[in-house]
Amino acid sequence: MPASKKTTRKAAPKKAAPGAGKKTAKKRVSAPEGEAIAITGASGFLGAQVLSYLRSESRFERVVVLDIAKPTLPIRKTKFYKTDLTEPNCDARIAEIFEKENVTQVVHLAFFRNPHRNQAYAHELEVIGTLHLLHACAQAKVKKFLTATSTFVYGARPDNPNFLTEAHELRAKRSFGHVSNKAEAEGLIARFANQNPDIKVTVLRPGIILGPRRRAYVTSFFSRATIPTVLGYDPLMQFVHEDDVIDALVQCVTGEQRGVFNIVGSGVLPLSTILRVGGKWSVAVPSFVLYPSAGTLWVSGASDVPPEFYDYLRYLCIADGEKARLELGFEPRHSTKDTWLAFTGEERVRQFRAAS
Amino acid sequence: MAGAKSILGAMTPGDLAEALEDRLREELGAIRDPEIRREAEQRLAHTVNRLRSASADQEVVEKGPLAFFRDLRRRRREQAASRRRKRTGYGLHVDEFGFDRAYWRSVEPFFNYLYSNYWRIECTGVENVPIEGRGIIVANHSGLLPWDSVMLREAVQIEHSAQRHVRPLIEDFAYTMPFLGPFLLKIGIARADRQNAERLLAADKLIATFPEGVKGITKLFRDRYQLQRFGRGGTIRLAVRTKSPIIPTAIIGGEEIYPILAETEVVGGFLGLPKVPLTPTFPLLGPLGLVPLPSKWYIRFGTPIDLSHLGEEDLKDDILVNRLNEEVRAQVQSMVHDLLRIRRSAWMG
Repeated sequence: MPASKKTTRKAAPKKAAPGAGKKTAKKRVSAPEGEAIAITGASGFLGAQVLSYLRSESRFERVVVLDIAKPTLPIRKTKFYKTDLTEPNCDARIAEIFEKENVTQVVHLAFFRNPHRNQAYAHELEVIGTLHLLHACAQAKVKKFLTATSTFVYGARPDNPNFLTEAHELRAKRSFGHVSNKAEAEGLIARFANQNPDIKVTVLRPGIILGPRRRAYVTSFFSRATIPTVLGYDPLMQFVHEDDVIDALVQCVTGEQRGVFNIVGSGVLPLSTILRVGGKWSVAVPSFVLYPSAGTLWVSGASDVPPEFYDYLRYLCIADGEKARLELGFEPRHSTKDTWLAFTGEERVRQFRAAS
Repeated sequence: MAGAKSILGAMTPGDLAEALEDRLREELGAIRDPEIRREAEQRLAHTVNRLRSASADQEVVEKGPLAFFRDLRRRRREQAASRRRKRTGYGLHVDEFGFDRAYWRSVEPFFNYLYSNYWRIECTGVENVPIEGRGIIVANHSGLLPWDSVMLREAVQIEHSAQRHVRPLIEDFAYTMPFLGPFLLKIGIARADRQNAERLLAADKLIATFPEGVKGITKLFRDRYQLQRFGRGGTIRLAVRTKSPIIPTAIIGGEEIYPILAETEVVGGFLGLPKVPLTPTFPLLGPLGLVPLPSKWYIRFGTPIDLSHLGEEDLKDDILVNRLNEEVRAQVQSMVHDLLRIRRSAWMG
């Protein structure tokens, strides 16, 4: 993109002219004072946590919230822009917003927490939405881009190494849209990072996030009293505590790192042990029965769990958190076991309250 | 560590040393300063050595007039410990590869029986296996199911003074099978994968690889003991990168447990096996046909091969790597032939 040096600029350009993204000392005078951070998906669990943290973060003058609905948290310093990432031309609009607000950092958390029944729409939001946002980031020359996906993007395969490093290819099943969309979005982000070497791009891949507060399809699956497992398979599992993921995200908002990082709890435990420790009944179902019936339940809307999820209770999908430890200094405060115990303990308290 | 306390009573001192070492190594990982870390590692090695030497073959022999009662009391204590272990259950203390010592203890008697009575394994050269630190046992491969890797483990467990747990690495297909895959993980057998191998060696474990791979276990009976190509030099690269000695090892007897008369790939994917073999008993007798035949086994550990003079830049020389790879293969092959000369009959020994 040829950058023409503009000496005069309107404070609020109606349209981002090509080359308007060039930041010069001159421009900084006319733009709003101080830097801003933009966040998508602020109504989600992680988004809300990051947002509430940004309230106390003095580095940013403003927090720009891009969302379809206004976040429920009343937070000072926020400016809300109603944005639909699936709109065909939203990238230009978002770039405009970024220019106007002098956004230097973008935190992208607009992903579905549960598998969406409308695959096409989910793909539109998670993949194309990410693409639009990346276009806007490139146009507005933000300095940092941060997002969080999941270790599920590696895919659960019998031929996985026991510990997947960040360099491993992403082999999630195409049919598991909830995960393959994230993998596809990661591909776009990787390309974007290559094309814009001066933008610090960070992708966090948290493992299965459990904790006392977060609610998603995985937590509702594991909070059942009886859990279906695949007969004859007992993979090692790995959980990460929600607080650790929030810590890692917050650390990356302020840090100067770039790259992809697995964010996982320490230690692994076999699925059978986990279920026994959690006081769950497990019903082992042969795979040729489990997959079709899980598929039927999923399609009919009786369960929130798509059949492909059971692959993760069948084969290994464990990530190596070493890189985050070395490069981010990220040490999980909770092990897999502690995370699981905290989660099941909280569940029991909740059931007790409901019963009394 | 309430769980640990209950499990300690059920561990042999050698196991305990190893478990402690694993645990302490985890702690060491948190030390940032390389200087302090190195010193801590040296001290740890020293301590573990002392534990090992103290624990090598501690056969308790009660003496004196009250020996019988003392013996009884000791056995009662051991039984209580094992009951406690059953109550706490397995699977609470697994290492990062899913190896569960308590579970291994519980199944080991069966493998012990196979080792001593069924296959009557005779093992030589076990002193070539390092007492501590990393090492790669490179062996020939046979017998469809990973019996030979389990027996190799047993050999080192039973015959070696340090009672080390060898961690064999085997082909992928075993892990696609229900029951078999989780079982193998629990007894400490991992999937053959460069990352897995490097991780285990970095933790100073002893691993065993079978570079013949699937070609080795699906050999026809008429090709028995003719070693197949040793992969593409992965083991050599691994040894050079991790600075580990290679211990060439020959295993005799595994080829006769499932005499493969023919094999077909028509029913591909059946059972997850790469090829469907035809043996005198399988698939004729169904699952019963998978009972291995009682051949006579010999295991011999050869002189370690030291590649520490090579570095990363030597690995760029593919021809050199290939030559070394072939040398290791030739050495294992000649050891196999030596053992075959010793063994007069495949069944009687």
